[in-house]
Amino acid sequence: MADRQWHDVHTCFNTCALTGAAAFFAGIENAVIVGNGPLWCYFYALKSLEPALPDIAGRFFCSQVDNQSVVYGTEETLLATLQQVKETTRPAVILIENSCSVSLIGDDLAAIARQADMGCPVVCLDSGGLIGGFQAGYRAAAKAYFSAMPLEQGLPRKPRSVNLLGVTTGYYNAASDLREVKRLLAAAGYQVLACPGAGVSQAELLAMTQAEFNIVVHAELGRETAMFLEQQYKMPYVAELPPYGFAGSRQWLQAIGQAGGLSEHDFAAVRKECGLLERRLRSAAMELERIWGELWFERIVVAAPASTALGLSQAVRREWADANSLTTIVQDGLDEHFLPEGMEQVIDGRNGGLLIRDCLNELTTGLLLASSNESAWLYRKGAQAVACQNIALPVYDEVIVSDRPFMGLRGAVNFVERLWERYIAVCRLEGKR
Amino acid sequence: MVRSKRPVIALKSGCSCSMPGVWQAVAHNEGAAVVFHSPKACAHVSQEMSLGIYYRSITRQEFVAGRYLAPLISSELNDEHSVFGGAEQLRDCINFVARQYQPRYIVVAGSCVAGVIGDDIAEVAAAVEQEIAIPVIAVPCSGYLDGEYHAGFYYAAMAVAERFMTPRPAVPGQVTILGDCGGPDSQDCREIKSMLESFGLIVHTQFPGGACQQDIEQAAASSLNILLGRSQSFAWIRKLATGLQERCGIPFFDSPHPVGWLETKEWLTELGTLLGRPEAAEQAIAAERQRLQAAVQEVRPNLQSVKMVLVIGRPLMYFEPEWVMEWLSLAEIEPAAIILLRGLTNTQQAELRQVLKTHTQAPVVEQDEADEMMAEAELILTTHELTNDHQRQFFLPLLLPIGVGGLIRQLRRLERLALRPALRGGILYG
Repeated sequence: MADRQWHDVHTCFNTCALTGAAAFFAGIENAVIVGNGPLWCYFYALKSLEPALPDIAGRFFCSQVDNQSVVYGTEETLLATLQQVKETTRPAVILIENSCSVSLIGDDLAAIARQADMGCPVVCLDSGGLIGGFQAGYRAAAKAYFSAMPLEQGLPRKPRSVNLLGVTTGYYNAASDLREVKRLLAAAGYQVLACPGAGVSQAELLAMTQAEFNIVVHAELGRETAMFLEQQYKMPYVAELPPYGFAGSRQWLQAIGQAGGLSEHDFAAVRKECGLLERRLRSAAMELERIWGELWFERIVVAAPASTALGLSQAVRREWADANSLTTIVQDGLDEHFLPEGMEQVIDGRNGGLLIRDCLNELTTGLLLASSNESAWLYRKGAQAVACQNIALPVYDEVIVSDRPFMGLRGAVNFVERLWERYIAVCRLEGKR
Repeated sequence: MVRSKRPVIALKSGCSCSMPGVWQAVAHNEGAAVVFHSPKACAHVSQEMSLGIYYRSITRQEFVAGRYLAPLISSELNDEHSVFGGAEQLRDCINFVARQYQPRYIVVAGSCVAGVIGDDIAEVAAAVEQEIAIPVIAVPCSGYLDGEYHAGFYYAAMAVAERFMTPRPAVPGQVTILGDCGGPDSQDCREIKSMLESFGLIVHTQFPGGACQQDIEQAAASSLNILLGRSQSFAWIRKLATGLQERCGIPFFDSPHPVGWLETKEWLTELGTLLGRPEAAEQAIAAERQRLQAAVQEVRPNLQSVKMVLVIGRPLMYFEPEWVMEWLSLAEIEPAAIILLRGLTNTQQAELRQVLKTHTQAPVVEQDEADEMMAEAELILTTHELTNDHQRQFFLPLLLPIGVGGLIRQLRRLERLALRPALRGGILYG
């Protein structure tokens, strides 16, 4: 224990498992979520989900537990909340999630739910901060859902169909990325049947077994589920880093092609589009380079959930920009399985707070791909010569509405456009000094 | 149809937690480090709250580069500790924080989890303090279990005062502001300071937020404490002032911070009386009146006679009709109707009606009866974001702005909304 380290939470961001679990169920059409805990924790989770799901408050409830409930149990207040759910919604499925302090008092949630007779499946879960951050909550909710809800078996497999696992609107830019991933798959002839966690109906979920295989988009969210579905339903899966950059997208599609037994011919359309966009982008970048010089950053720091951080680090290093050094911070921990070759310094955000602090303090010029949290750190210490691009939540300084993915081919173009914008803005600022 | 974007929740319990209050009390106190004896997520919640405050401070030109930000560390309680207790983990954590960050003092806040598992935070703090020879100040709170934000703020302030403040001879003219209101660099605090300057008073520091240890010690020499707080927060800040009076003999000006013109006048008059400076109060009132009149003259032509409805979804505990009605009357606006949102209990509605009828003759109706009135309204003043995005909505602030400066800021914002083409609709946050 003496070697154990703690760190200033300002260096690295995450939310609560309560939010992650709610995010998974929020991604199911007509699912209702009941937070069995205090209003403070509920409001925090609600506020985290609202940017991507503006109407979520209509199906996210709180039992408003207080200190009395912690002593005498939450049955009364939870039953009252479930009654309110009955009166105001028609849920397809309900998640009841305990906050951390409520999880300690041992209420039998399933029994309370049976007593309430909700007329739909009810999944119960301890999902407060004691089990971890957003990713831990999401994984726990997915596991609880698929354990409680047996999928249909014996359905005929639909050729060239897949499910996307580990997707959530609780990530930065998620909706745009999902659209681009689906577009890429469609261009290769694949139909996406279900995306648990990011807009799926209960019927689609139950019929997921019709897919040829599952694709894990964000491994830290979906790999466990993929393994579970493989074990339970013999559904194979592909888990690669998400498709960032042209090379990353080609690599990703290649892995999918191998899993699905596709030939080179099946990817002709994607290859053609990729070539065209690459040429256009190179040409546009060369025009700018004549004036502004090459896209060079002394240091690059990337901080985000693991799959995003590693995928974007690989793309930025391999395709997009030159740099003297690259540091990748994986907020929710590192799975060596997904560590691409050529990564330089990789810091585990769960226990590398001191390294992160030093890394941010040393970033006085360069590029930061992270969230509003890290850019606030830089601004506070006056490091204005750093180009900052958001790639993770929380975001306080950007409007995100239009379709502008970071994943896939369109994502590659979009990202490079943004890099140039940020780079030029810093050059202008430096020029003024 | 009148619909709130978020369903209005009938509050059955408190809606905040003491830990962010503890954090906010000392977040910018040079030399402080804060440990939450909690799951990590609790610290991230406070962190995100600070982040929002930081970005707002930039927008409002309140950001001061180089302002100290205390390290915030969670002891990282997990499932295991719910069985075996987390005291040992807390002890190791505080030791680590002392070594790593070398703070002048450490403030420890307890979470609801620590409360339920029964860790004795005060005992751990006292024991570690012996080892590390740095003050380790335990705040007697357990998340949401025994108090809300303001309780955490109060207990943290009092605990810090008990540690660092000892009686000192009063320095004439030196005052300390007690409370928060966005911290010493906020527009609200600048407003209060400016009013105090009218009496020749010098604000030595704001306590507890933003004060270094030396400031805190010196605060004991204040000749008067000025209170920032209203309703719920005032009760806690007043308790803090009483505690400091008992501890260091510092008298306090027993008044909540003023919002609106009438209260500002009263506040200045009473302060003048307390200080034996009625003429200074009169001069200050005259200056403030002139300032207000000038601003009202400018905005009134764009606001008077606007057809406006007021939509209320907050109970009286979180909503002060007096301020809103005074503010509207300055702009010569009489609400066409007042609409009470679903979610307010019958008792809360009755209390609101009671107070409202002392201020206006506008009809007070329930949400279900209000469609026609809403459709005819040019502007909507509301406590909740409404789904009627095509209409212009002014979102009433939860924390009312201080003094004439606050009143003017809100009037100007309302004017901006009135000047916006009606077709554009949308919400403007006051």
